[in-house]
Amino acid sequence: MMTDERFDVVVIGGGPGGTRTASGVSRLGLSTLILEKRERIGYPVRCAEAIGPAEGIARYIDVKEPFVTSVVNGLTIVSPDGKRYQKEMKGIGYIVDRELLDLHIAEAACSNGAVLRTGHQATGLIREDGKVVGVNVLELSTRRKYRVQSKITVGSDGVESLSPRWAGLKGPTRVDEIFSCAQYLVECVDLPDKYVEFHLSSTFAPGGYGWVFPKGNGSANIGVGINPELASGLTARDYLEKFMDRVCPEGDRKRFVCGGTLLSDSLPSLAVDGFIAVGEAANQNNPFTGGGILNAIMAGDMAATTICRCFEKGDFSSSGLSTYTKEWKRNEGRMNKRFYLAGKVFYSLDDRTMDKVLSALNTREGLITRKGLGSAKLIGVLLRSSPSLLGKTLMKALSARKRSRKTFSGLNT
Amino acid sequence: MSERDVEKNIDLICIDDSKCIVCGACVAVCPTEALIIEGLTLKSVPERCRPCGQAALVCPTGALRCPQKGEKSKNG
Repeated sequence: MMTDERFDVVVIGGGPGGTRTASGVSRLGLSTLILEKRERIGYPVRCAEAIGPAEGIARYIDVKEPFVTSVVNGLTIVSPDGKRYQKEMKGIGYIVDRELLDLHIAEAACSNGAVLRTGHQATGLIREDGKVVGVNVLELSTRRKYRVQSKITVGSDGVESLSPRWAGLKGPTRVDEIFSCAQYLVECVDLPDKYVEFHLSSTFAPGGYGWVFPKGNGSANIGVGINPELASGLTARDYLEKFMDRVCPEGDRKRFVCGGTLLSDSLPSLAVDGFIAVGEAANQNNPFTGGGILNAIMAGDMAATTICRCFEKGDFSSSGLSTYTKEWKRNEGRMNKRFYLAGKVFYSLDDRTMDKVLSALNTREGLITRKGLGSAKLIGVLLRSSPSLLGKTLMKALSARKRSRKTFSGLNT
Repeated sequence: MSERDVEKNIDLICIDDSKCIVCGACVAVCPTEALIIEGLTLKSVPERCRPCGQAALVCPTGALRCPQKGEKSKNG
């Protein structure tokens, strides 16, 4: 016998996007349930743990909390030929402890009244007259199945998200739009502190980049993200070993982390009747760097504001929820679109062209802005360096975007 | 090494539990939702697998194997 429960809002996924949404809606008195399939919030970590810019984070989180492990004051880009392009940028961001950060945001949601259930997994959406009206849930420890009815369901189940697919908002991720990533937490490293490093080379990061993110106390996250289509039979972990040999052969490898991060363009719509998608589940991470913690937090706040307005009006329809899509597109979404196109071009460059482009970019003021690499300037330089390549790649990117704008009806298990 | 074939005698995706750390990259690209994560376990739904090989391509640790057509799968 399947029991039914009722909540105003049910959130699928206990990452920063989901718990931030839950925090916002529960603060205003809406009954909220967070479902997290893993046993512990924030564990295991699947993240390089860099977050920026600092001023953006300060608007959302008290950075004095213990989850900040180091302050980043600049960045270094290393080209395939080994040239280092360095820029001091005080307060560009932080390296965080993701487990503590996720816990911090989840605790805030719970102290506002949200109910958190770990080890409970959403297995499908409940629909009535085409509208999403709740979630089917499996309690993993007992195999008990139950249903939760809700006015709004939030899909924030991360890179492996299925809920937006069930809702018909997106389809499967294209293989060339996911970074396959592997990383070690390394201790006893002799590396420049306070600067994040990005290494570009097809030798150890085909179609992507390698990173060194200092965590403080002589430790760093060292990893690679690759385009799986260019990997010539090797895995991200294989490339990571090559990268380690290059940047830190002596380091003491403490923790291995791997995963995928999406490089897709934003979804054309982030909501359907009774359902809203947040964070990486909604392709809201930066499609140039793969970073997405701050984006998920911002999207969570936007989603919470829209949901609360919908409750005031009693309108849970796709059009009522579309305010969230519009607000996202007006802000981060517009920039993500540019980053998506810039990334498509940038990561398709061969090593020699990459050397030329980075050298040309280096001579221009303002290549690196507080928001990261200036995508408009990057495209400008590419246009001069390799107009035929830019044209070809942009055409490819635009047609890929067109294809991905189809809506999909997922399998509702 | 414990390798699970999703169905004997059929060339479908195989999961090597000793390498899989349940990161979800394969779930993101699987076009038919033939791979699902339950808690900290990756599971497959054999009747949905095509098999197209995309999941094996994105796996960061090489935990997935998609036998070529005609190649005997491990338990086959």
